[in-house]
Amino acid sequence: MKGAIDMKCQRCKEREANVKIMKQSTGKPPQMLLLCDVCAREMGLTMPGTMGGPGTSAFDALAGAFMAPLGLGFQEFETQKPLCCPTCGLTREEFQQNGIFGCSDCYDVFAELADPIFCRTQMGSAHKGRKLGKKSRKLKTAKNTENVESADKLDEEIPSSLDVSIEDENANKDYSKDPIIIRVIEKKRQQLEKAVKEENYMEAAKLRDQIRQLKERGVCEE
Amino acid sequence: MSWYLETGKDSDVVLSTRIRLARNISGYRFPSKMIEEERKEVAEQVKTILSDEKHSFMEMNMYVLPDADRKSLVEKHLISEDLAKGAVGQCAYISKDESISVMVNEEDHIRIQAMTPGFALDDAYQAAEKLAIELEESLPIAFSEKYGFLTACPTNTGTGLRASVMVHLPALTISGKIKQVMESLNKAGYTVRGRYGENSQAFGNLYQISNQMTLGLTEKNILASLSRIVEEINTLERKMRETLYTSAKEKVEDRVYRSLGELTYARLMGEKEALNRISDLRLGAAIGFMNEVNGKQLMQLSSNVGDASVQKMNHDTLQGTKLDERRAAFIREILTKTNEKE
Repeated sequence: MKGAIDMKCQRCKEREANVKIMKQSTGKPPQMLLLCDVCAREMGLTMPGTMGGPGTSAFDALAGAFMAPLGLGFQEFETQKPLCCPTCGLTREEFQQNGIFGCSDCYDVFAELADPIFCRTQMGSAHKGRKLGKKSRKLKTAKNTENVESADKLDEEIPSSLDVSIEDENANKDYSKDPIIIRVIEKKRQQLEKAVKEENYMEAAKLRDQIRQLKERGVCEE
Repeated sequence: MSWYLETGKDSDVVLSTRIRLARNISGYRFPSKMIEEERKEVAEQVKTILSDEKHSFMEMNMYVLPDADRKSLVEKHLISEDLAKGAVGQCAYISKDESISVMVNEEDHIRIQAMTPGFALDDAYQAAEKLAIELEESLPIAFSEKYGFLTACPTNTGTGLRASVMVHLPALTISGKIKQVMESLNKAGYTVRGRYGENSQAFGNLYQISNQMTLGLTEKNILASLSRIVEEINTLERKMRETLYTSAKEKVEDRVYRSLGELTYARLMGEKEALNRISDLRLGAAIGFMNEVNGKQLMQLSSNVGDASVQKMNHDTLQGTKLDERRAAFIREILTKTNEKE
C-alpha cells in the first residue's frame, strides 16, 4: 500500500503497520487501530481492489465505496492531506487517535471527519436543543470583539515596551496573533517587567524564553 | 442535610438521579490543549461568578486539596476521576447539601452536575439548567447554530446533556436477566455501567443508566425517553422481585437476614462485601418483609462504605485490615442506632 505509516502493527508488534482502521462504538470516542496487512487479513478484514481474494469482488468494492463516507472504510486514509487546526494545533492524526476536539474552531476544521461521527453516534449533526438566550448571544459577540481589539493592541505594544529584547523574527504569525496566546504573553510580559525592575534576572530570562516559545509554538515550558 | 441521605420517588429501585451539562468558554482552547496560564484564567472567570455569597458554594482547588479528600469527592460522584488528578487550575464548586457541583477545567471548561435522591429527572435538570443559564449570561459560551453547545468530545456536543439514573437491580442480576437488559439498552442508545466494578459484575447490584446521544435531540426528548426506559426497567425489576420471592421465599429471606447478621456483628468488612450485603438489605426492605432497617439508614450505609469515605471519616489514610475494621464499626454504629430508636 502507498503512504506506509512508520509504526509497528499493534497486533503482531513486529511488522510495519500499513492499514489504519477506525473503530467506533456508540457513545465512545473513535479509536484508531494500526495493523499490518497480514494481521488485517487474518482478522478477516478485506481491502477492496488491493488485496486479492474476496476483497476484489465487485460487491466488496461497492461496499467499500459506500462504507468510506460513513468513516468505516480504509482507503480514505491514503488520500488524506495533512490537516491541522490553526487555533489549537490539533492534527488530523491526534483527532483520529483520541477523538477529542482541541478548541471550538476544530468543529469547522475537522467538519469532514466529525460529521460522519455525529451521524453514526448521534441523532444527526444538527442541534435541536436549547439555544443560547439573547442576553448570552450579545455577550458572546461583545467579548469576542473585545478580545480581538485588545489582542491587536497588545500585538503592537509588545516589542516596543519590553526592557529585555525578544527575538521575534522567527515568530509564527498564527500563534502571535492568537488572542489567547497574546493574553498569556501580556501576563508574562508584565511579570517580566516586574522581574527586571526587581533585578531578578534569572526569572526575567525564564520569562523571556517562555514568551519566545509562546510566540513560536503557542506553548511554553513552565 | 446531604441530598443523598434523603429518599425520593421510586426509591425501591432508583437511588438517585444525576444531570450533567457541559459548557465551554468561547475564546479559550479546550482543556486538553490548554497551558497552565489559560487554565488559571478560565478558573478565574468562573470564580468571579460562582464564588459570591448568593451561591454559597464550597470552593475546592484540586491542586491543593489532599488526595483522600479528592478521592472521597469522586466516591460521592461530586467530581470525576479526571478532575481528581488535581492539575493547576482544576477546581470544583460544591453546594452545601452537595446536590450541585461545578467542575472547572475537566474535559470541558465547565461541567455542571445536579443530583437528586430517587427518580427525578426534571427536578435535577431544572436545577442544572438554572445554573447553566446564569453562567451563559455572564460568560461568552462556545455555541454554534449548527452543532449547539461545543464540547471537547463529540459524544457531548449539542445539548451537552448527560442524564444518569442509578438503579438497584438485585432481582434482574440474580436471575441473570441483567445481561439481556444491558444489551437491549445499549442497542437502544443508552449506556449501562456498574456503579462499582466491571460492567456485568456490578458490586452491590447498582447500575447507572444514561443517555448516549446529545445532538439532534431536544433536552425534553432526551429526558422523556430516558424516563420511559427507566420506568420499564423499574417494572421489570419489581416483577422479577415478586417472582423471586414467590418461588424461593425461604432462600430470599435467609439471604437477607444472613446479610443483616453479618453487617450487624462482623468485625472486618471489605468494601465489595459491604456493598453486596447492603444490597441484600435493600432488597428485603423493598419487598417489605424486613423492617429492621429503614430507607434513611440504607442511604447512609450505601453512600459511606466506600474506601475513601471511610478513610475521610477517620481522618486517616487507613489500608487493609484497619480500613475493614473501621468500615465494620461504622456499619454496626448505623444499624445499632436504628435498633435503639425502635
